[in-house]
Amino acid sequence: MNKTVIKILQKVFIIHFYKVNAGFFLFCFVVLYGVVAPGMLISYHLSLIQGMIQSPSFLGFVIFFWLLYTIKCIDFLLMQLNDPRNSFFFSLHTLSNQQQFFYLLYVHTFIYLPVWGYASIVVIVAAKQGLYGSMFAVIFSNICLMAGAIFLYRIRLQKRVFIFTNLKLTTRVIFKKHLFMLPLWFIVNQRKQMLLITKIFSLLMLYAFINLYEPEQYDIRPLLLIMLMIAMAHCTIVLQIRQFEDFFLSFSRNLPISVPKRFVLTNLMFFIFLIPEFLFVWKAFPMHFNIIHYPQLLLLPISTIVFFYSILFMKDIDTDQYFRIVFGVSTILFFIILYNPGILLFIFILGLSYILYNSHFFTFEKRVT
Amino acid sequence: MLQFCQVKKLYGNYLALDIPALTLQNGIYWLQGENGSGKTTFLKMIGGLHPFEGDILFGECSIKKKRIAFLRSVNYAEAEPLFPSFLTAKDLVELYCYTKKGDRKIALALLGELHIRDAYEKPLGTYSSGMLKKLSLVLALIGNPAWILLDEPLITVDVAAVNIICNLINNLCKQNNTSFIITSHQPFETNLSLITNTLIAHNQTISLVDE
Repeated sequence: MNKTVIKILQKVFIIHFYKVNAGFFLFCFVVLYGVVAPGMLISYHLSLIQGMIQSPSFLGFVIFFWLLYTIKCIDFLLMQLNDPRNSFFFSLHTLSNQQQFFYLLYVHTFIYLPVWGYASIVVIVAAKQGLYGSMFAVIFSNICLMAGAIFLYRIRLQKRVFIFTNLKLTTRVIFKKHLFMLPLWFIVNQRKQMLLITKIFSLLMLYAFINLYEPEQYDIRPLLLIMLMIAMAHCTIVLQIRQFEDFFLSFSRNLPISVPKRFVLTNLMFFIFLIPEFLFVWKAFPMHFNIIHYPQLLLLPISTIVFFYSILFMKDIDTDQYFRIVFGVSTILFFIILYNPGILLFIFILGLSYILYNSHFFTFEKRVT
Repeated sequence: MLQFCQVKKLYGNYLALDIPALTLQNGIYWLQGENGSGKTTFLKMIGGLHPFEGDILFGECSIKKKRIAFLRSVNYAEAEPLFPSFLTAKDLVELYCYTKKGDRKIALALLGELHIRDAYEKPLGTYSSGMLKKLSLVLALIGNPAWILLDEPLITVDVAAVNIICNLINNLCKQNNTSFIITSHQPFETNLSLITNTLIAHNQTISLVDE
């Protein structure tokens, strides 16, 4: 394999993939390693792996997540290949089939590395315990997922028509394309996998909490903490929305719409975004919350997400800084919620978000890199 | 009338434009300058897309103090317009008619004149660059703006459309007293009979040729 080609592939695909998805990986890292006490980390993961290799349904569930991750990889790579700035890559299709295959395998292996890492440990544990069925299921499923991905990349590289190449689900959402609903359209139409993963995660978290946690006495705080995690899970979508707005909706700054109106409509957009969670949370009624606390459950994720959104208008905030701020703000909120501050906290966050938004909206300028 | 008071535009530490004082009476202005001389930055500042130091006044209306009123009077079309591919021309025309208080029928007639009326309900992802350019020009003409800023309006459009666009500009200036600032590398004095003056972007400032 040619060194220059490898270098370009690394820059355009592999490094870019990890940069773009830094938030996603940070989030996964927190969920997988951050929620367990350091001393319990190995035993926690060993028991998770035990569950996987001993229960076919649990293993199927894990493989489904690997499938979602593969779709994420495919979506990213196809998007990069479709980007006119990367059209020079199509010169690769003049190489032999074998060479093309190895270059694509190289790229996919590196972006699939997090799955390979965890799957390898699962395979080793399964082999040691003589659970060869699970071991082969893990190896076979991952090979199939990789082969499928490379097949799709090759089709795109050779510009052949293939029905699933764009992985576009025929989603047609029926709501008026109001200016402030456009980010929602963008996420629903062009970031389906991200939306799907985020919603599955947040609804699963709610479902697990509602079904597994039985409080001894009424306390709203645990459910508020879950809503905080749901807000945190949406931080990558918020980033995508801001990038979309900067790139495609810059014209809207020339429209005579006041800042307060823009802010209110943005809040409304995020409210619509969170409707699935706001409806699903009723499964927790009346055991986990009573009606007077419902406004808090609504306001917490909205105010937090709008705050994340407003932060992105501040000068020189890059992706890394944004995720650090998200993490920091969420940690602070976590501890404040433990003291049961009531609805005033979320009104305060909303007010703070408005101040940030109002003072930075028209002075914001895309960072020149 | 547009007035520029101590306008400065910096990109980081780099001073891109410095306009201590400039007054533009109503009319059609042809803004000329080399690549990177600040033409687009100048238009984007007036169009409210770029922040800057100082102030720009339309009559008594300051972009800093009365932004909404100011933007109601100033429309802007980008050199290379970018719109979400899933939108249709209909979506954008309706949005602009709503916010800029424009007449949908006039917008539709303009789309017809520029031969893109048939694609009105098609996603913009299916448009060619020339069609997108025409659409962005029609959007800039929506409402009753006092000033229209056109960044390279003639690139990527066909020859027939060039004449139509120039006629539209002449007519709007004559009938509605609409003023224009137009950047273009292509000479169009023959098409635009009403050019009032030429603006030059040079040495990090903008100045009138005939003062």
